[in-house]
Amino acid sequence: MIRSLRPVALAAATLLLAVGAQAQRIEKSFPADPETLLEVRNQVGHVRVHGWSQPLVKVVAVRSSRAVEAHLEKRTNSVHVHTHPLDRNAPASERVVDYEIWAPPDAEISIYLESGSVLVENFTQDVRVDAPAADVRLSRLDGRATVNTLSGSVEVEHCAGRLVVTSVSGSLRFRDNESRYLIAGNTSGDIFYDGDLQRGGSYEFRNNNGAIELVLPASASFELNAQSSEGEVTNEFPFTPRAHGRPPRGPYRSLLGTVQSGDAVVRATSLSGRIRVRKR
Amino acid sequence: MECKEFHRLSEGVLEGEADPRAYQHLEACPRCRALISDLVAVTQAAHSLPLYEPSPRLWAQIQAAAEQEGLWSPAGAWRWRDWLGPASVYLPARPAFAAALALVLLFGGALVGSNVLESPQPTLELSRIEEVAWAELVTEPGYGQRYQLHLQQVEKRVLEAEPADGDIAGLAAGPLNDLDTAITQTQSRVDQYPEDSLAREELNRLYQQKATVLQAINVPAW
Repeated sequence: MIRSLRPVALAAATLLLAVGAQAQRIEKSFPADPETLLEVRNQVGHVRVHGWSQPLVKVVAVRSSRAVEAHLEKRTNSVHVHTHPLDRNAPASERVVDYEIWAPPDAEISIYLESGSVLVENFTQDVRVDAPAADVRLSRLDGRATVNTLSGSVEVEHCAGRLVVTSVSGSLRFRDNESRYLIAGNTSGDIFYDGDLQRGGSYEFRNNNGAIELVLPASASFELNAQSSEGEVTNEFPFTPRAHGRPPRGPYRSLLGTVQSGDAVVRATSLSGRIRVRKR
Repeated sequence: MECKEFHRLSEGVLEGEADPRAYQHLEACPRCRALISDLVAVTQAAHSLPLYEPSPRLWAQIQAAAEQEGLWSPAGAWRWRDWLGPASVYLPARPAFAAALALVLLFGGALVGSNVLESPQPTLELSRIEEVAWAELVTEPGYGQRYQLHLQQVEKRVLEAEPADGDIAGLAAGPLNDLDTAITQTQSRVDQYPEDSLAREELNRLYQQKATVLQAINVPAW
């Protein structure tokens, strides 16, 4: 009798597990207002936000345990996706919530994530990401993008809007962007820029002790102001030196001058890091 | 309301939109009041530090305003040197600079850790002049040490308080350490080469960044 019940018990257990697993996943869709704000607040996990052509915000949330819950709410002109802790003492591995979100491209995005990773792609309006220890990747954004991290690395590619990216120790990488305005600053991480410069654009790179490397096409045209107090400064482009308006004070290495007709402005400064301007 | 709960609401307090109980707690708790006061002072001051060369006309306005308020007179400039004690070694010969520095110390005593604010504050409508004075302070050698002193006090309070979110404090420990190392190295560079304006500018940026990190620990968005 007991032996005959075993398959039934196993099936029941499997069913219960399946039901339990299903309960960890939430999927909701909301009608999106024009230029709606999508606000995501999460502590641990992966957040991926994609622009799509439908007038809907669709959220799929997967939580790792019942120590947290995903709260999804539509408000006037905004959709809030917040993780709420139910057990603040639970280990980080039990507080993971992964979000996959789709929203219209004109949505404004605001994300806070402490650790894990963030991906935001295909949007035309403002994007802001605050991610202390999470790695951030932005792709194909046409609006203004602002990213702040403490240790998380940041990658930005194929973006065309104003970019302001800061970190303490995270590395910052920019590849094939069409932005005309860029500020990239960190303290101990490296900064890497690979791509063209836009006519009339302004590009500022600043760190304390990391390396700054700019890889530009041979046709690049820019005013260069590269200074490092203690690090090496090198440039591979033919270069017309320009006199400093105000002579630099203190013994540091500096390159100030014009490459081609100087259509963009590039400023790179570091206290002790190496600055290299290379041809692609 | 306990301090711990207040810390969770402190972002709203900073924005003036917190639960009324938070303000009641703020009135009753000198520790939280001091913390909020410090964070407001540091972050506002850090964000209002412009870097530009003031025009001679503006300097003349600073001097005139200082003289009008009895803060400084060309004949009595030496008194500042006595009164400021060790800081006076940083006073340059330019009188307007001394007047500006005096204004800064009066306006910004809370930031730089001075007790000058114990005396009544002058009621000057000099927001732009104050900005200029702050800018000049950035290029003044004693600035870094005083700013760092104050940040150390803020940091001590932040780290002593039980953080609203222990995770963010842990995550910030490494970056804070990186910032401290960078500040030490940059300060060393400034001490060695006082004329290195790039290092000065960098030092200011690092202080701003550290103030922001400390605020993030105390008022996490999570």
